[in-house]
Amino acid sequence: MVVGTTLENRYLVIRVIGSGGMSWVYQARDMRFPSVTRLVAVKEMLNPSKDAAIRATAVQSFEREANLLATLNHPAIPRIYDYFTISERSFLVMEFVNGKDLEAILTESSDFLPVTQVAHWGADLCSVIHYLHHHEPPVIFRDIKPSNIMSDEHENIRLVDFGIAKLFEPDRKGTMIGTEGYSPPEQYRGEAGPLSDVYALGATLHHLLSRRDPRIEPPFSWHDRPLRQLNPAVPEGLDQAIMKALAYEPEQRFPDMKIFGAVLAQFEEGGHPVVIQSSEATPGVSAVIPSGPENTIKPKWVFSCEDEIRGTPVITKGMVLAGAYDNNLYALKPSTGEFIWKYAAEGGLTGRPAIVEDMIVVGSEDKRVHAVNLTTGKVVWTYYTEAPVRSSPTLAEGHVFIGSDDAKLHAINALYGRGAWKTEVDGPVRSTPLASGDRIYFGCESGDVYAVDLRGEIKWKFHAKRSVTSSPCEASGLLYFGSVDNLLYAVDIKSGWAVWRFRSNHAIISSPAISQGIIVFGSADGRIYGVDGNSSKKKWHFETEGQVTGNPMISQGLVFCGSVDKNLYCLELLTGKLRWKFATEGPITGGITANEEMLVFGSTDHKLYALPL
Amino acid sequence: MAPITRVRSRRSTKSAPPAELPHDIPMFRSGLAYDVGRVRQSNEDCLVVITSLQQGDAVSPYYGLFVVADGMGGHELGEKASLLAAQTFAREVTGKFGVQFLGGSSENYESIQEVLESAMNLANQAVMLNLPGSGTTLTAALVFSKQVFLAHIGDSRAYFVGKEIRQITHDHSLVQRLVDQGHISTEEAGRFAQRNVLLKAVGQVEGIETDFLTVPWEHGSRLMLCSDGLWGVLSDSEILRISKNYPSPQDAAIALARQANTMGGPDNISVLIVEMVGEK
Repeated sequence: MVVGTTLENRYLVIRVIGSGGMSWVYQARDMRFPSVTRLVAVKEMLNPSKDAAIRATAVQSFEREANLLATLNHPAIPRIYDYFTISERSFLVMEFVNGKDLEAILTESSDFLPVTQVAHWGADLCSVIHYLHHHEPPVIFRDIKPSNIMSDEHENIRLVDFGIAKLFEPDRKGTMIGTEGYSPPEQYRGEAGPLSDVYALGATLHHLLSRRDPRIEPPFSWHDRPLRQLNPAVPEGLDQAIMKALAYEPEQRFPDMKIFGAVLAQFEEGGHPVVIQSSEATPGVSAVIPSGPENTIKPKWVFSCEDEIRGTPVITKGMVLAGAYDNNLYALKPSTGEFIWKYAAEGGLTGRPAIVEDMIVVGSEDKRVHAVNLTTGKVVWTYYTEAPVRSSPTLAEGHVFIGSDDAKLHAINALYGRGAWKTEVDGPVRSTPLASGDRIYFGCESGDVYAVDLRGEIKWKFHAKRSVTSSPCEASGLLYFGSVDNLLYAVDIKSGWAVWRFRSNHAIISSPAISQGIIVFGSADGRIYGVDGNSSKKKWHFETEGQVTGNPMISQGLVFCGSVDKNLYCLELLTGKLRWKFATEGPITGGITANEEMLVFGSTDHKLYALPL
Repeated sequence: MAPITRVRSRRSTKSAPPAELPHDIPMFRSGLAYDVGRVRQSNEDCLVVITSLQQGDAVSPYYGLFVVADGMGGHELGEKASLLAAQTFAREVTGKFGVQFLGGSSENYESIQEVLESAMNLANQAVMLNLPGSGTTLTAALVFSKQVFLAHIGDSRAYFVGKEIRQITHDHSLVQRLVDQGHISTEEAGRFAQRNVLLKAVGQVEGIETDFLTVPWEHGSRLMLCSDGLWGVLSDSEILRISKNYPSPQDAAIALARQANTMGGPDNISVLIVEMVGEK
């Protein structure tokens, strides 16, 4: 319709306001009042269909809107003035609302809208929708969304576009109508009742507070984007109220708009907590989740040595074995922590010992690899490298494989301690080699990760941007390791091609552990991460209060990992939820070992702890 | 992908000739069926197969890229969208992965995930820019080193079909979401009215998130990619039964499409079956 047209000799069209679905809306001036400027909104039904039946249905629906509006009387609902048809074109003349719709307000704002403002709108909307639901016959709006709600010049809320509102007829089924994203599940089945409007209002408020448009998100995925994570200014009670409105099952939502409105009003400017009579109506206030009980776990025993324990102990053949920075390798009784023997190297022991038949093998900062008899604690052989040994030994094919700061991987005959071969690489090797198939994989401080065969020949080399101190682990044909470049890498084990990488916020020195397809590792950003090994998607992270450089251990669906914040954490593997934590007196930088009954780990407080499992 | 130093194995100094020429060079054998079905006028699906084989003294790597796309939008838009998306995707992957695979150096250090995701983003942009109002599914498998790297958006599917049948991809559809959330059962899903409502498609919004997945090749199984014209009509057990009856992937693909047509062929049918031969 052309601007300047006068309809019915009365309404002078001034401009186009907008179009939506099946209609155009114009701003017009009512010329019946020539001495004053009385503005009206004129809605024209658009009906491009040539099909007479479809056209008739559309006219019917338009008339229904007109008739419906004519019976309604509420300050938040635009008044209807006139309805007429000119040669098959139908027009509805309504009160002109001078304002902006909430979608425009949201789009034009660069930051979150004030929570109190949104709560105020929500409470007002509840009031008008409550009016509709209790109208005789009841009216279901069916299409509540920000673009159908206006804030007028007096900042009062107005509900516009009753195009698809319908008189409530229980048990009538139909096709999906409404707007995807805001519409409740039952509306997809063609069913809509008062509780459908509760849901759509919840969706609208969620959109207004989170700035995340539900139309572009999968339907019913509210739990995937927690409101308070997106907008920390939202109070917990408001979040819970909105989530209650968004319950999948209608009966779990607020039973009516009045109650929803009363809950929302608490969060308006100057709102006060309200007492709601119906227990049904109270938003599900979940009990405050206590942080895991601290040190309710009593250690089975604690063993003190003379310096920090930075490595990982092992439990074997009735013994707990742990190297310490006091140069000693300790053998203790697992049941009591009682001292059995100790073996003194000439430098600190920082790795994890390996068991070879009746020997224990460990590297030391005295540049040597030591093999000690398990029963007597006496040396069997020593092997010299050219620099401190901070890597841990791996046993395969009768050989011990271990790296050294001399930038070599050493293969040593396990029984006699004779060197078989060395592979020279570009930097110190501090990671623990992984033996798998006929290859040995290890990281290097140069940032390279190598695959060598059992003769020491390099088969492939992968380059990360910074040191790889983290020791690789393997699952489903992929090799996983962290780097000081902040990334966790997944590399094809056969070829060395990078498959994916996952970015943490700081260096990854911690060695990953894998179970049930979940890769768990710590980062110097203070977090313990759980990442899906096949898709690289983060499943969870757990925030500690210090860097996490130690290696996590997974046992029976639980993750155990130490942090520089001095705590040992026990988390659920699938969710990352805290089960408990245990405080020591020093940062924990080493790994953990376990058998069926207990787990053992050391701390830089010079102590070795055994906790019951 | 980071550069890989492949070290040549020591050349044997002995000059004994091999007893027989090898018959077991690892490679792909693939088959495909592409059919309009019994109801539709045009075929809005698109298939792409690219395989590469090289044989050298030290290495015998091979890779394959397999893509199925199912367009939507009507009025020729759907067929154009699926073709444009599949071609853009394949061009990007072969440009980055394929070139490096043939020894070409690469300045970038992208992982396979990053290569596949950026290819999907380019396909998305291409469709949004050139064919507004249309969209397409896209399910692609890059197979290399006995690993299957999948990039996926929509409800076309990837399966392993061997002794059993296992769906690898997860549909981005309303009905799948309702099943995941436990609101309807798998049985109800088959009868669900809005079965064809997709939650995600290529070419609809900026910055789509691609499902990336890596799975080891299931030894002794075939990899099957197909559009909903196949899986929406035939049950998993039917697909398995027919696949088992045909030793050749091409025959199996044709037999599957034929059976989908026998069941009414309500939609376009695209089937792509890949076997790995010569691998121990």
